[in-house]
Amino acid sequence: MARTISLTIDGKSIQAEEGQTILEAARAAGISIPTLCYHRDLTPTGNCRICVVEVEKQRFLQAACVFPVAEGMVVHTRSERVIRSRRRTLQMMLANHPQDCLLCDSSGSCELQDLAYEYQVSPPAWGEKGTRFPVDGDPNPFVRVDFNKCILCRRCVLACAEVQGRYVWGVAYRGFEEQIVAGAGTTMLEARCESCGNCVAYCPTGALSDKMRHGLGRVHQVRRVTTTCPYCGVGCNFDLNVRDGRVIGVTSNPQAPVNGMALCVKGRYGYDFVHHPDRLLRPRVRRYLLEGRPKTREGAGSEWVEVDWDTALDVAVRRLSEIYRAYGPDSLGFLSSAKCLNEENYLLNKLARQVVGTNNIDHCARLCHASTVAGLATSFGSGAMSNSMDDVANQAAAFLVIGSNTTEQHPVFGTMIRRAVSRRGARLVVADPRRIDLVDFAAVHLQHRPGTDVALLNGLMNIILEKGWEDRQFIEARTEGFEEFRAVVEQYTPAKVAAITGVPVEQLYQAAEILALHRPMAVIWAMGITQHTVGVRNVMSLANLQMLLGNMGIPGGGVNPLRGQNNVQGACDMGALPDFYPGYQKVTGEEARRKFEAAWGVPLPGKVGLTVTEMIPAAGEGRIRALYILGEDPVMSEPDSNHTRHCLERCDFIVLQEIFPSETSPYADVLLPGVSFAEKTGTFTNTERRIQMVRQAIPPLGEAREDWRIIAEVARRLLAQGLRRPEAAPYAGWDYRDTAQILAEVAALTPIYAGVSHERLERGERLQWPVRDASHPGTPILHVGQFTRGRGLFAPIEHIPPAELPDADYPFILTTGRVLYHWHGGELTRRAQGLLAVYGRPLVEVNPDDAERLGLDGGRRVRLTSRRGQIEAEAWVTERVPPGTIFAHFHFPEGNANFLTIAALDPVAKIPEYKVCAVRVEPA
Amino acid sequence: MSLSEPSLERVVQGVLSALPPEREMLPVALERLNGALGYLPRPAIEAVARHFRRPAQEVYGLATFYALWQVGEKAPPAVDLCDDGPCHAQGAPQVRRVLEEAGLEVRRTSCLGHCAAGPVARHAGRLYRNLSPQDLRPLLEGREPAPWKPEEDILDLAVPKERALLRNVGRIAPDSLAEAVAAGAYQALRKALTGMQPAEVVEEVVRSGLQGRGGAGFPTGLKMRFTAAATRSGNGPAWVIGNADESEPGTFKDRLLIEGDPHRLLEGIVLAAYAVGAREGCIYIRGEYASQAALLERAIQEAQAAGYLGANILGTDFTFTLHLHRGAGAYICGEETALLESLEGKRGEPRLRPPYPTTYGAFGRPTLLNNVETLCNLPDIVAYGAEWYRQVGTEKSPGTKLYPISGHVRRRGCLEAPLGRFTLRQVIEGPAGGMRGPAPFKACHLGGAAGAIVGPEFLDVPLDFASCAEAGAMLGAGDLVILDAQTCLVDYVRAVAAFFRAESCGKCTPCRVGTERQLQLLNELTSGRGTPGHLQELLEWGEHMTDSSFCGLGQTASTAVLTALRRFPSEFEAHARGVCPAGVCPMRR
Repeated sequence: MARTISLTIDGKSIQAEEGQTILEAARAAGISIPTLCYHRDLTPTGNCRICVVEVEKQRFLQAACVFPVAEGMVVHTRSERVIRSRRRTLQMMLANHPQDCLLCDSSGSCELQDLAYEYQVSPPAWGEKGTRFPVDGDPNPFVRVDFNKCILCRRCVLACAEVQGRYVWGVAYRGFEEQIVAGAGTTMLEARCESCGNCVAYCPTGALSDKMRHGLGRVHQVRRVTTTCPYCGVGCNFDLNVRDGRVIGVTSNPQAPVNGMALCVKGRYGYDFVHHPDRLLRPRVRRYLLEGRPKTREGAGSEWVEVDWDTALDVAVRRLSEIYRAYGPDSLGFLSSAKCLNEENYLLNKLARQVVGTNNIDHCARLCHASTVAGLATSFGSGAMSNSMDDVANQAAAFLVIGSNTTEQHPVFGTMIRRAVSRRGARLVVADPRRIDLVDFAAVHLQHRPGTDVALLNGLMNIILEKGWEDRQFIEARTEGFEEFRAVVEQYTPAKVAAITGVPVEQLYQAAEILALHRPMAVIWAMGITQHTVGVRNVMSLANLQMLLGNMGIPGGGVNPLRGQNNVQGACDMGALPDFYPGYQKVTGEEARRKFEAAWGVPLPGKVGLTVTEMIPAAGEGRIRALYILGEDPVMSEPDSNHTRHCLERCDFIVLQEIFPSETSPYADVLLPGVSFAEKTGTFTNTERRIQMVRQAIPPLGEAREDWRIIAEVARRLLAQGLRRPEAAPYAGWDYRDTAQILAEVAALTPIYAGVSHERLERGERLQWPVRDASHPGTPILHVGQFTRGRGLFAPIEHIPPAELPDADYPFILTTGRVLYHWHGGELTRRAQGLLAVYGRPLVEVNPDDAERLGLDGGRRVRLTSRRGQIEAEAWVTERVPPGTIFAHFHFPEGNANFLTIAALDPVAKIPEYKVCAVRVEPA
Repeated sequence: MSLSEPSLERVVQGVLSALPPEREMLPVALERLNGALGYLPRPAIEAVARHFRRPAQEVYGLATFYALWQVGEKAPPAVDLCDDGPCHAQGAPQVRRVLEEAGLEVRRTSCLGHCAAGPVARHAGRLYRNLSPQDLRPLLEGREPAPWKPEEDILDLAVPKERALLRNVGRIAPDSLAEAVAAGAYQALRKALTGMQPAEVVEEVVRSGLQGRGGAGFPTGLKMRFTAAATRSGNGPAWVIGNADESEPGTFKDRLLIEGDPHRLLEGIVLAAYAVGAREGCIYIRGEYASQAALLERAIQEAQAAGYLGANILGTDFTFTLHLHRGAGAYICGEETALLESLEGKRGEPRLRPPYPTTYGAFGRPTLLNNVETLCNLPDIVAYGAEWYRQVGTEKSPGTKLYPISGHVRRRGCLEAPLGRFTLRQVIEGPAGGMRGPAPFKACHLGGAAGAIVGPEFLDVPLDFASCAEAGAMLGAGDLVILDAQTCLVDYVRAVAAFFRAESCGKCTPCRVGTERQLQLLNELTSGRGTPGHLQELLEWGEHMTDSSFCGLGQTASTAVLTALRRFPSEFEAHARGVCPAGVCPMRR
């Protein structure tokens, strides 16, 4: 505990803690002192001198933001001398600042303007006003740079270094020539800028502003709606800025629980898809449906016809009922959406199970973390991220980041890891076949061959056992199966593992030492672990490692799978899975089934349904006759696109509820226009099980409807067809007032969500499930004291090579993933202008050695061919990939890596092996 | 120019491959590349950033901070002419006119440390002293200038020979350890290492009353105590730093000590290191002192070979490694915390205090940072004791002091005298040989550019720290720029203002903008466009810089202007009416 100090500020006696600055002490006592260069998130510098105060016995004025309090100190914050100094400092700033508040986007949010007003200072006649630097002087599509307005407070420099960890902005020259520069005096993007815009968020003036909203509206003209980001699973909160029914920008909300002021480029600048002209604004059906003719894929009858809602819903419900009657409930399949609300996922689960009576419901979690859910459920009894992001970022002494390109896929969490390394010296081991950006911050980079994770982890654990670094007490007290596990791991000698993985023995030792001797150590992974035929085995190996080191159930440790989509955790939680009701209550469990039968008033099937990766082939084989797809684009996201297209083509009837025409919509028969996150209210659950509000900022565009309303309407109409007749039961009905009511139903039926409600969230409560009841505070860390299944289960795991390895015909390994500027199948990000300006075409990463051997010069276009398909794209010749490995992504329809990937599945989780297949590479 | 140009790439790789990628080596890389290429092209800066694994902006920020490095494009050939106070008073503007008439490009440079021999210029890597508008042939013809000897810049030793810090300057070969040892070097070190505990050395220095000679006059013994205490309380072994960043216009005393008797400095540093428990240290020497750095480099090597430095000094278990760090042109780096930043391979911007360097200094270690002259006092204090040391000087300011003297006197150079022994009048009439011509004394710029302008009322103040402070001015580094009645003080302080405008680091608003505005105002006043409002503004901005700046540079950047304005108001008021009473400024009389 810091010592308490008494001092006097403006005649008021106050108590402060030793080590506090005058500013901190004053603010705590309700005394306001103006600041400019100071920001509570950033290291104080004392540069701007606005916060000067008079400290008795000090000869000169002192900057309150840096001057420490001392016992008996007497401070004056508003003396004549202080006010005079502040006015003069403001004059100095204004002398060299353009007088264009009339046209400045930052007018109203400008701290310099506010202080000029407060201190009634007008700009002096002398000085250089707007003539020293070019206006809008950087080509970055997101950040508008006008250094004429810069007061050299350096908050941008500190934000870039300390918040984002990217070090783009710097200070160059000196004295009156001092200026802020990007890199070595280059453009921002050349200086490796990630376009997060955090510098803009921290800039107190109009020197850095948002280019996309230039001229569109200032702070007093917009309504700000706090909501949750629609991109990755980190779950950042921000404020949508709305003017005249349009989203014109995104601004940071300092109260955001996960991210504070920080956002990434997609979150801050990827919002313009909301108003993109491609938006579906009226329902569409194929003409053949209106004319009562048989289905046709081509020619007359296949055209889209825009219709009113009634017609579209009638047509959809009619065909679904026909198929139900003809082929039974299991001929229908439901693909739910990790982009949609919890409430909507719950409703689709209810639609499938209650209204139709099938467990054929799944969503894209199958394609990302199915193996995590299955693997952790086996090892620990429940399959979610065990710790919180801020917990590991602030407490972990070391990190193992394996198969997660965190800074690109979970960017804000990536910056938290960078900060942990650079600001508090946490040790980082990155295991990744590619030299991802995070490697710059790593103590060791284990560049193992794709698909050799089990061997690598067994090798590390072999060394840990050899050195006696395991946590015997933890193993003894909290686990079982250790001896069988040990017997397998002991066979994975460092030499053998080096041969399998390609990682040198000495690096294995270095990494093992870092991971074992720095505790707590947090393991972080994403799709590099899960998207393998051995995905579940990979996950269980990581569980083994954390049990071996006793890193479970403690702050700063844990197993931390990073969920990909904004609400993929929630979609799983809500029962958009073929084997679980909401809250991971098994459909095969008698008790759970009875509970939901009683709630919904219908008998429920006890058989596990089909996964996405089973439904699509089943559609091709005629076992699935109709698909109801909510906000997913399987053509882009499933492996082996050609086969996916073939299967969808053969499906009798597809209802697609979407906001844009997608690559899948050519195969759909009815298109129901849903809405974006900006147009509805509800909840998302982020990767760390945190349930957060999504708030409607604008009314639905055109005739589009909130997705939950559409699902409820479909349900009501299907029930009206008399498919099934629910008995009177507490939750049998479909008349929902709002999503709060839906979540209340979820809470009533789902123990882990029992205490979650819109009301609590709106009160500002921060809830991570399990939330056992209305007064339960939530659970930031899982498995404290005991695992969900009781004892943690060590599993003996052998290395099994990937399904398809290179050979003479297909000599390269193709591994796939995503990039910072795009998202999933690109449906949203390809409709965000700025993101496209930075990353506007697919790029395939090729190692320079391979490029030279392949003769890739000049145009550098390549053709990639696998046993399943072919794509052409531009090559990015880069050391990010090792020789023999090619990296491609699935953000663009042209050059979509999923034409090449293999639909080989993990036997348990049914997740495809996106991360490894064999390809041939030729110059195109 | 791109890095793919083979010659550039070769040079860059050649330089970088020889350097370990540690941050404090960054300035060395930039220094060598600037030397080899004549400038620092952007691709070279980016290559340095990659080699040292630092962000490009950081290296660019570093490279553009220092005046001696040329970033971006090659600068056209030019004469770098010093126009700071002493050189300005001694005729730099006239020299500039002649050079420009001869078709040469002339650039202003900050002080080169040869003030008694001013005006001084640097051209094509050579230093030209004693420039006279009447005879600039060596420079114009590009001839090698005559070499100088440090003793040429000694005015007088007004102390018993055995007490003079400068006693060996000109008497021993500076590049000979043997001659230094024959003259008594390292005897004090032997005495301390073989017969005194470190704390005894500290206490001897405390008793001697030695005050820092860099300008602030802080008791050296106390600094040593603080550093030793921080070392003991677990902040790690201390660092000792010799501040040879002598950049104050008018000051050239440390240069004489380095050029004439480098081992005295080394011995002083090793004694200090022993006293405070340091194992590592360095001399931070300003970039302009290139030949002096070479001399020190050689002295360090010789001392190391002879066992006065390095492992097991003089056969004891005391080990001390001494580095040499070269600055690259930045007055601010004389400020101790800016020096530390610069030493660590960063922009030379001052740090927040507290923590003070004695607890958190170089590389986070407790650090004893002393001026060269201060350190050069230590051998005698240790060898002969505090009592002996206190026999000269005043009670509050014991010992001898070096007084660099320049300006309008017959004889210029460095005077060594006991503190307080001379008044300003006595210096002028005695060692300096009186005013240069019939014009009488008008003012003295005391203690460097950061010091005050004093007038005749100051003539009888004894020149020691306490007496000067009592009379309202700081003795500072002890330098005196003596100005006669033909001087236009507005013109003179304009030159001082130009110096601060060039040397402000830019970190804080008052100094960054204030130095610019101060110069603008004085430019107006000295060109006939002045108004009374300009005088008012000078007062206001000056007061603001003094009261609200981050560090000592900003707090003193207007001292000369404000003191001149207060003591010679009528001269400024005349300029505000468009009149230069001295007839110096180009305006109607």
